[in-house]
Amino acid sequence: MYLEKFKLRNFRNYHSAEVVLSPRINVLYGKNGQGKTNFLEAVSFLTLGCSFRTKRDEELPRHEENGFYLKGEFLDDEESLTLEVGTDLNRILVKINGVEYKSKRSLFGRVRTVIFTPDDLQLIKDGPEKRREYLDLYLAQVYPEYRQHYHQFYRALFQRNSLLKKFREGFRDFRELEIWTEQMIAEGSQVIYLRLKAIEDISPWVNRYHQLMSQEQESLSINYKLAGERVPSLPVSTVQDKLRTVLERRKNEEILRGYSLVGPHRDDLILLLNREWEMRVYGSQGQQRTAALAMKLAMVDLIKKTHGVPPLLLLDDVFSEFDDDRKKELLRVLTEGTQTIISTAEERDFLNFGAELKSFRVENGVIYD
Amino acid sequence: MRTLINELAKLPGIGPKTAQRLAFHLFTTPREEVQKLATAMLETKDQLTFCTICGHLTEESPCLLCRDPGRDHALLCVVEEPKDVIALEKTREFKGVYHVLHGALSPLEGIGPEELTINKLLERLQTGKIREVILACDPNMEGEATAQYLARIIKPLEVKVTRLARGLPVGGDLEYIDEVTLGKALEGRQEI
Repeated sequence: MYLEKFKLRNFRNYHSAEVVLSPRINVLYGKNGQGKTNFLEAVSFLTLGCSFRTKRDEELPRHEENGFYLKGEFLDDEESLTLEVGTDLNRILVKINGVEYKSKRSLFGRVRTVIFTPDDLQLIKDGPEKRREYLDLYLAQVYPEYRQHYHQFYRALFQRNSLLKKFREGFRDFRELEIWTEQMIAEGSQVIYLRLKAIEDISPWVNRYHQLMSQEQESLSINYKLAGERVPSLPVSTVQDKLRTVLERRKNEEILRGYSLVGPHRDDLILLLNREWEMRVYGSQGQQRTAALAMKLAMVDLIKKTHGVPPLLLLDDVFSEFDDDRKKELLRVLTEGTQTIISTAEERDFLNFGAELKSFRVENGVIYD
Repeated sequence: MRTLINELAKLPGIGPKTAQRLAFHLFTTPREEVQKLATAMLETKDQLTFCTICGHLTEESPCLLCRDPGRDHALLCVVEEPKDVIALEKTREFKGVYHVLHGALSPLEGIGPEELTINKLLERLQTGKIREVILACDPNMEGEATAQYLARIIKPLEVKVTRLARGLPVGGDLEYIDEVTLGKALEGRQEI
């Protein structure tokens, strides 16, 4: 499914714009601050139901406007899909093929989307939270049941934490704690199981992309850390046993602290350069950026493999820190079938691309074909 | 008028707008009709109590269900709320008796085993007259936790414990059923 037509009104610095996109590569070029990233943000808002830059939707309307409107028409061989979202102060209205929905959450997952932005450096550099966010955002798109298990897990976690707090106050019913622990294990193990399965699938791709972009100089391996221990892909029952063992071992500590210390909400990913150097600690800025991009591109393949159709790929300013060789490699990868929208300050990077490429000049909130 | 709107808005499922509409509706309704409604509300409040045996709503305790000699008093169905009893009675499938917990375990809302009628349930089981307990808690996380908790304390009493099956809604389409429900239905499949 690709985005054929996109319309935006009163979004960020756009007053009103409408574009017809290429099913392959689309390049937005222009000086900084003209609206290239805003355009990508608008597209992702429509397909994910949220912005990748802010959690506060009230920042999105154009200056002195109360709301914005976005409309995307998507096509594939068999069907068409129209997504619309409009906001007005605190109200939001979503329409999917003309049918109204009250929550922007209903937009999520209709058109799978992978985004890369310069901020994705945080994926490597920052704490485990960013890496869990990466897993959660993409796995919810890959496996439909992921979202459900994820929400159920959090519900069990909050219940259990609430009980652990009471334990600190002196009220103790160990049988009740055991029950909530079991609920947490049941849902948490499903979340971890899917994460492990995904990691196993993407790890060769992560490595391949990293190698491509480093001209075969470096390897990159990705592993899941369950309760601090590196683990391979495992069956659900083994994950359950592992969780149960660690939870039992750390029970007293949890009671003392009053919250849950073990579970998918505390896990992490570990990325190793050439099998031994932790990317977060030893990687250069350039290597870290390549690694983050490799992780994102691998998700494109996972979505392709699982659903048979590639996702929409949004790349914000990926080329700014790559040298010419890396740029060339990356462009080669991108010609493999995914619809891509790229923003760049340098149009010349794309000059040799021919008919498959459509470029747009962005200037002060106006898009020129 | 403002007092009436405020009071109506306290009811579950009624927002300020609906409350206002109801208030205006009552204002234009004939006095006798309003009187009937007010009387019915007060009578319900004054005359209904909880059954001392099962915890269901009743005008007279023990309730009609608990007093009915035609029902199987060895078969006990545990539910969260009185409205669940009404739902189960509508099926006409169940001929046993009930036990209403008045909630489900939820530490977030301050509901632990002490807040539910679990002790009363244990008293009933200790009489030795009950053969099977059916756990019919809601199929959500809190209901599941409550069922698991009860199963653990009932099992040692050597009473058979069962729970409602989770599965497909009748009249539904397989392709529209969410993955988790479908997974549970597969898990609970039966030989035919």
